[in-house]
Amino acid sequence: MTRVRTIVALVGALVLALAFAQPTRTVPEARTRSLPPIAGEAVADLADDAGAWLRRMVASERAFDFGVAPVERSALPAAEARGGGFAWPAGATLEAVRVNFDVHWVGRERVDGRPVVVIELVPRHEAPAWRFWIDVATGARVAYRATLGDGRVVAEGRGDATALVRATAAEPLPAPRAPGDERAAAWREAFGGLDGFEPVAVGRVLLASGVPALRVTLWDGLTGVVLLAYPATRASARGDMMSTRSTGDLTLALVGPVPEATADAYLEALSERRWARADLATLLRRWVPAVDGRAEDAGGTD
Amino acid sequence: MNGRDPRDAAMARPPGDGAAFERWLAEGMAPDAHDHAAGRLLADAWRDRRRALDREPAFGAVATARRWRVWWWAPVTLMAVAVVAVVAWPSPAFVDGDALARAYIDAMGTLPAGSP
Repeated sequence: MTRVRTIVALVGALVLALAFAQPTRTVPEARTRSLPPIAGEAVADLADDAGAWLRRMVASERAFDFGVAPVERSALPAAEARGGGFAWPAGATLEAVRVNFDVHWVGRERVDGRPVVVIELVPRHEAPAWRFWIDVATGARVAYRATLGDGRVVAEGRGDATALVRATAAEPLPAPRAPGDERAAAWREAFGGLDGFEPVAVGRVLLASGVPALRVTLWDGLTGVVLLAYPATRASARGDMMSTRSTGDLTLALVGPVPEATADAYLEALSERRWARADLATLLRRWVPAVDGRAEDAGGTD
Repeated sequence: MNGRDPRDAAMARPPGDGAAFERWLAEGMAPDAHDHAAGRLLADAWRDRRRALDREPAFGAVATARRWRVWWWAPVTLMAVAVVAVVAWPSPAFVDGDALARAYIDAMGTLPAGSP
């Protein structure tokens, strides 16, 4: 009996240990390593050509690193920036920006004693307007702010401009294609996109707790919006910058910095389509066909 | 038999006084008890007493405390496992705002790259 009791206690302790042992997330430390300052690589002043400054910024983005990690605030959590620069926006597609935004010249300012130019990208659709502060000497972005039409600041960030250093292994700002892969193109033909946003990726993901979902990533050149379809749940997800709608067996969710009215209208339009009344398995079979007998997994959160 | 039921004799007059009877029960029967009719009856009475003890009602503070002293680890372990199951095994159908936010982060982190 003592042996049984000991075994039961050990199993219980093991279960407890497994339950409460959370995987430690490594937080990237602020980059404080000292790198040689930029010397003799100043870019040509591009006068007041906002489009040229935008191209310069995209080209220089993440070619420069900050001595101290930039400070950012946003209504939605952002993916960790690749290359140590700003996390927002997640990428830039100049072709889509040209189509969806009006690029305005705002003026010149000084930030921490360095001359910067300020440009603003005003969307022609319901999406955040982006304002960028660009260092004249390097073309690198030192600050940004994304604002919705009603004045709400979706995301803003600022780096220490005086500590701009040249990165040794820089990655350019990723430029997502529009319209993206074939599935995204098919999706666009079938349903269109949210006004101004084009589908760039369609895939299957696992949400938290292992809930499978169909994910459609929509992109307007600077801002991303994610459409998720997953089995109806007993609790509706709530939060800033996200809308949900139940359609029988499915819950549709739109996550991203667009006005709630726009998101709700898009979800309502989608929910009236016949596919929204299908179950998730049917939806995934249609949009994420099996590869070699296995359902393709386009990345997951867990 | 002499026409009298030997059990009457045994029940009417246990050997010795009450204390001796208890001692008899406690120490077991005398080796020759089985040879005696009354002794056999006493053996039966002892057996019945044992059975009655076995069938003792399963309630009462003393009985509960006695069982708890032996079996306390069973409910404690079961409850611990149940608590762990509830805490660490959320319903698979639960999708909250944090899950959607994580899905957004993941989508932005896996944007399909293309040529600008």
